[in-house]
Formats: sequence, structure tokens, C-alpha cells
Amino acid sequence: MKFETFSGTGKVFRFTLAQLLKSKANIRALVIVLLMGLCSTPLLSLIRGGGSGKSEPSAVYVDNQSGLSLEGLEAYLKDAGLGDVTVKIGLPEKPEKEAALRLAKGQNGLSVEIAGDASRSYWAAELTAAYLRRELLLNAGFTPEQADQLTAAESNMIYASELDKAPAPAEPGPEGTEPEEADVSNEGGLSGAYTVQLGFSVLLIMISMISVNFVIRSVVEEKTSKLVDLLLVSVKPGALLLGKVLASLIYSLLYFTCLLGGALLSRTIFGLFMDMSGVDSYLGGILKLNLSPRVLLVLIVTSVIGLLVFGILSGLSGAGCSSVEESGGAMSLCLFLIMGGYMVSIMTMAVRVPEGGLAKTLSIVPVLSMFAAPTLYMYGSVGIATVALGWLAHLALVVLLLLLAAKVYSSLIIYKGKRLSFGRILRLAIGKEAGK
Amino acid sequence: MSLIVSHLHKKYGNKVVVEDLSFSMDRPGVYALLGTNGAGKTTSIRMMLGMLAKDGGEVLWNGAPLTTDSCNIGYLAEERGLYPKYALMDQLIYFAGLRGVPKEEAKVRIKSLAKRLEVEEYLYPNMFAPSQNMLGQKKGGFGVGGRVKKEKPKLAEQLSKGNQQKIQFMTALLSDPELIVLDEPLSGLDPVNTDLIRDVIRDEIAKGKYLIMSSHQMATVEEFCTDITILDRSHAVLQGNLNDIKKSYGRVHLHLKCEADAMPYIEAAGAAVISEKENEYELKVSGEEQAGGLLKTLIDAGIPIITYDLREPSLHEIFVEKVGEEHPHEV
Repeated sequence: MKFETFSGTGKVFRFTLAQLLKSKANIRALVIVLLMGLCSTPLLSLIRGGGSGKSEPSAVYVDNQSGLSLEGLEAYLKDAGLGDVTVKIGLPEKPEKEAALRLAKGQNGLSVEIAGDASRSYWAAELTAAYLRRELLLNAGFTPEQADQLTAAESNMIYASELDKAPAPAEPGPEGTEPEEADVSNEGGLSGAYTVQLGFSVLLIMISMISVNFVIRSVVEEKTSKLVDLLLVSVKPGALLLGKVLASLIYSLLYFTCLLGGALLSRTIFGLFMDMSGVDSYLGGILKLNLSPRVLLVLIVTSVIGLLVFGILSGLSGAGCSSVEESGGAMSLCLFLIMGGYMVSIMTMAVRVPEGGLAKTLSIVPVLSMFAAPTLYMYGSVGIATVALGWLAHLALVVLLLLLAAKVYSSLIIYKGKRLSFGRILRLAIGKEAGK
Repeated sequence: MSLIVSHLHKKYGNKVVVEDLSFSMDRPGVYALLGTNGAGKTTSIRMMLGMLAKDGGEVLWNGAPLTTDSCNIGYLAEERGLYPKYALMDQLIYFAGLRGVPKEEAKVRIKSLAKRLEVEEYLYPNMFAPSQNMLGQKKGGFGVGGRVKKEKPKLAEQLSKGNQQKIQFMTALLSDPELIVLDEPLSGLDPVNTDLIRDVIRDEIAKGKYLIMSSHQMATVEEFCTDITILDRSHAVLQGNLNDIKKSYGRVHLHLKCEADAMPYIEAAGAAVISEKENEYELKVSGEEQAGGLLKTLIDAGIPIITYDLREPSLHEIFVEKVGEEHPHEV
């Protein structure tokens, strides 16, 4: 692939992005999304419950019947993000109004029982369980580093399972709430992975659809504006397409950032004066996922490369249209692939977190890997090498599609007539069919 | 500098749309590509400019393949358009940028061309915004002595078709191109705007630019071009220097206006009548001898003659004749 084929991409990208950001409709959409994000916390709080005052307890009361030392628990809870908390041994006079736990030896081993207000005690219970696990590992002869690593992995599973194990959000009655157990054993990880996969896939669908829609719309609008001849004399067709794809990608990521940024801002601001226990119990699993820089890198790179594939595909499909009315049909291929990737990723995650060959396949096959690889990597089913192999496969597809675009885009973009299916576009590219 | 178009060929499936087109320009000037609708003019231009893959042939600029990198090309396409929802100035700067013109330089050129083509009020709306004085009364002009209301940048969709066309014409000239390709540059323009664009074309010719022009307006082509190719149904039916072509036809067109009916004498002289209206005739004669004989007959018969003009055929007449030969029942 010659580099000159894409010379001018930067100019097309800057102009397209600038115009996208100048459009009143697009600005309105970004503002609406930002407002939606800002409203998310109070709305969730209303739905899930909560009141005035902070959700994080200032003190955690622990009735320790486990026999284990709790010397390091206070520091552990502080490190884990429970703020300036103090640990008090024994239960208070009115445990139902406080964060209170009871550590006991049950039939199945150690258990952490919530003895106080469910919403206030929940995170303390989860973290205390993790602390106890670490202590048991240290007692079993593991080094502190090994214990930390194992506990961190376990914590991921716990946080991910948060949505399924969230305590009842209702205000505790005068009699207090039913005690809940946060079992030290890890049974919640599976459904947690499914929840994470589902949430991630839904977000990815949103971004993909926005990106695909923008690329197709801008290609078809340019074509119907009769600008193509003028542009093609100044810029290579590959650059014209790639510039648009990148601009649309950035805009859709900005769209997503507004939504997420609004939600985080909302959580931060409202967290200062509202009870966030209901919201946290609902979102805590996702918000407190152990997103290490490497996991974030996998998440971002995989998503961006995948979005590039959809962008180029949608640009080619859009170029086969001769009118704005046909652009809906041009979305069908991308829609099919997006939905396919989504369905496969959540269905394979529904029974158990895939491992071995299936996990590797899901992480390497283009489109599927976009949806599945980040979650599988997060849960340790695949390593970074497999994920990188998936990136290479995706990048190979991107290069292949760009080559295809460079070959047929100029013909397609001056084509007039009935909308060309992607199959016909491929036949045109390999020279098996000629068309005007 | 020279432009050589050699054996261009294009087909879609089994349909040949351009067949063996060749021509050259070895000096600055205007080359006209003429033809009926669907003759292959636009396809030829697209192939020349590298927008469309050629099935055969080559296009050389100074001996090297013509590309947008090897030659600064200005192109006014037959299918013209602008981004309807984008500000005009943004678009012009973008188009200039794509042709490698820095932003500041583009602004200078835009200003100059806008003045020339009388579209300043659309590109610089604030200069022409009505102002308000202290009493809130509107004033015209540049807002002197009043509070100027900031005007929003004009969008392409807010302009009339003619003004949009002038903006599109500007885009073709923004990079100060060496080779200018104008596909139907005057179609759809009113006489005033036609004259504006013709003036600019004249300037470009005077600057020594190479122009390729496709047009159905034969008078315009005739005014500017030195060489022509007439295309019909994918192949060239007539090619060469326009003056030479005209000379080869000879002075065979006679415009005759009399004060009395001259038809019996015309018929007797054997001249072919192309048109006739109130004793005014367009005739085709075999040559000066036949025309002279007719003139003598009319004078001898005492028919007063107001106009007698024996001339070479116009480009329009040559075009109609050549294409008519190819399609006797269609023209």
C-alpha cells in the first residue's frame, strides 16, 4: 500500500471534525448526552434509594468471632478507598444504623455477616472478606506480594459481581435489615464477568452505531452534494475516506466521553452531599473494577481498531449509495457485524468465562475480539500475547479494507444508480465486475 | 510545458464510453472538448485527471504522467456542489488547503477572487451587515457610526444557484493552477454573471494558462479556444485547429437580407436554404462563385439588398453538421 494513497488524510480529518463540532445539531447532541450523564446520579439515587449524608461510613464496627487478627484491617479499608474510616471492635448499641459486621466461623469456613445497615456495611463487608482472604494466604505461607496478587484478582471478581449481590436499597426499617453474607468463597465472579461483558458490549454498540452512522451520512451527503469531482482532483480517495472515518471515530468517542464524564462528574458532585449507597451498590461493581493501565490499554486499543474496521466498511457501503434515502440500507452490513459480535460475546460469557481455545478464538477473530477480548483479558482467560494477536488480525483487516477502499472508492463515489451491495463492491474490487 | 493525451480508452462492461481519444497542447491556450450529451467528455476529463481508471492510453504533462502532484490543476466539474450546511469561507479555505495553499495565502486569494466575482457580501457578511445607531435605526453600509450586529457566516444553501456557481468557480482558481479544466463553466448563469466569468477566463488565458474547456455554448468556446475535438458517441469525429477547420470548409455560408422576395432567384441559383424569415435568408452555397452569381442575379433583377455576408461556418454550424452526419435522424 503506497503512503501517497492516503496523503491529505490529516486535512480531511481536521476539516470533517471541525465541521462536526461546529454543527448545531451535533453540539446539541453532545450537550444532551452530557446532561444525561449529569442527571444519572440523582436519577439512579432516586430509583435505587439513598438520602442525605455520605454513604461511606466513618467507622466500621466488627464483632470478631473468627479468631484472626484484625490489626491491619483499618489500613486495608483505607487503602481500598473507604476514606478516613476507623475500625472498632465490637458492635454498637444500635448496629442497624451503623456499618457493622460479624466475623464468624461457619460450616463452610469463614464468613462475613452484615450486622448493621446493609447499604452502609456492604463495601466494608466485601473489603473485609478480601482482607481475611489475604490474611489466610499469608498464614498459609504465601509471600505478601503473592497474597496481594491473589487478593487483587479475587477483588476483581467480587467487584464485577457487585450488581448481582447488591444489598436492598430501601431505607432500613426500625427492626434493621436482614443480615447478608459476603462469602469469602468466590461464587459471584461468573455472573460478574457476564455483567461486565454486557455493559461493555452495550457501550461498544452505542459508539459503533454512532460512528457508523456518521461515516455513512458524511459519505452520502458529500456524494449527493456533487462535491466528489472537486475533491478527488485534490485528494486521494483513500485519504478522503480515512479522514472521515477518523473524524467520525473521534466524534463518537467524544460523545461517549461526554456521557461517561457527565456521569462521573455527577457522581463526584452529588457524592459530596447525597447518600450514594444505593447508587454505589448498583454501579459499584463496574466503577470499582480493578482497571489497571494495561487493562485500559487493551480496552482502548481493541475498541479503536474495531471501530476503524466498522468505519471503513461503512464508508465503502455509503459510497455505494446514490441518495440519502439509501443510507439506511448501507448500514445493514455493519449492523449485522456489530450485533453478531455482541451476541457471540455475551452468549459465550453467559454460561462461564470462556477459557482455552474458545477464549483465544474470541480474542483473535476480528469483530468478535472487539467485544470479547477486553473482558477475557480482564478475567485472565487470555494473556496480552493473545490480545496482541487479535490486534494484528484486526490491523490486517484494516489494511485489507483500506486497500480495497483505495481501489474502488473513487469509482464508487462517482457511481450513480441503485445501491451497491457489499458483495458487488467486492466483485468490483477484484475486477470480476465492471460498473459505472 | 505541454499536455499530451494519447489513446485514452474506457469501457463499462461491453459498452465503450471513450474510444482512442488523443490530442495535445504544446503551448498555453484553450482546448475545447465538444460533444453531445453522453459523448464521453466528462469521462475523458475524469480519466485525464486520474479520478477514473483508464482502460488504455496515457496523459502526460511535461513528458511525465499527469497527476495532481506533478501539476497544479484547477477543476470546475460539470457536477458542481458545495457542502450545503458548512460556512462558505471554511469550505474555500479547506479546498485551497487540499491543493496545498496555506491558510493565510488562501484568504488573500479568496478576497481577490470574491471581489472579482462580486460575491464579497456572502463571504464577508460582517462588512455588509446593516448597523444600528443609538436610536436603534438601521443603517446600511459598513456600520460607520452605529453598533454592528455580527452576522453569521453564510452557508452554501443560503446562496442562489448562480452565486453558488461563482463560489465553485473560485475553488477551481484558488491554487493559481497551471492547468485549468472547466466543464461547462457557464451553464445556468445569467448574462451578467456569464460576462463576469468570461472576464476571469480571459485573464487566465492572458496569464498563459493551459485551459481545457467543455461546453455546449459554442459562441463561448469559439471566443476562447484555439483547438477543438468534437466527440460523438465515445469517439472523436472532428479534431484540429479551429481556424484551420473553418478554412477547410471555405466561405460557404451566406447571410442575405433583401427588401423583396428573393426566393425564386435563390432557388434558380441552386443555393440551399437553411432558414428564411421575412426576406432574410441563411443559405449554404458551394463557394464564392455560386454566391457571386446569385448576387449578380439579384442586382440585375432590381431586388434591393440590405445585407450580403459570405462567411466561413460557425463552430455551431460545424458541430451540428458533423454530429448530424453521424446521426442524420437525430439532429
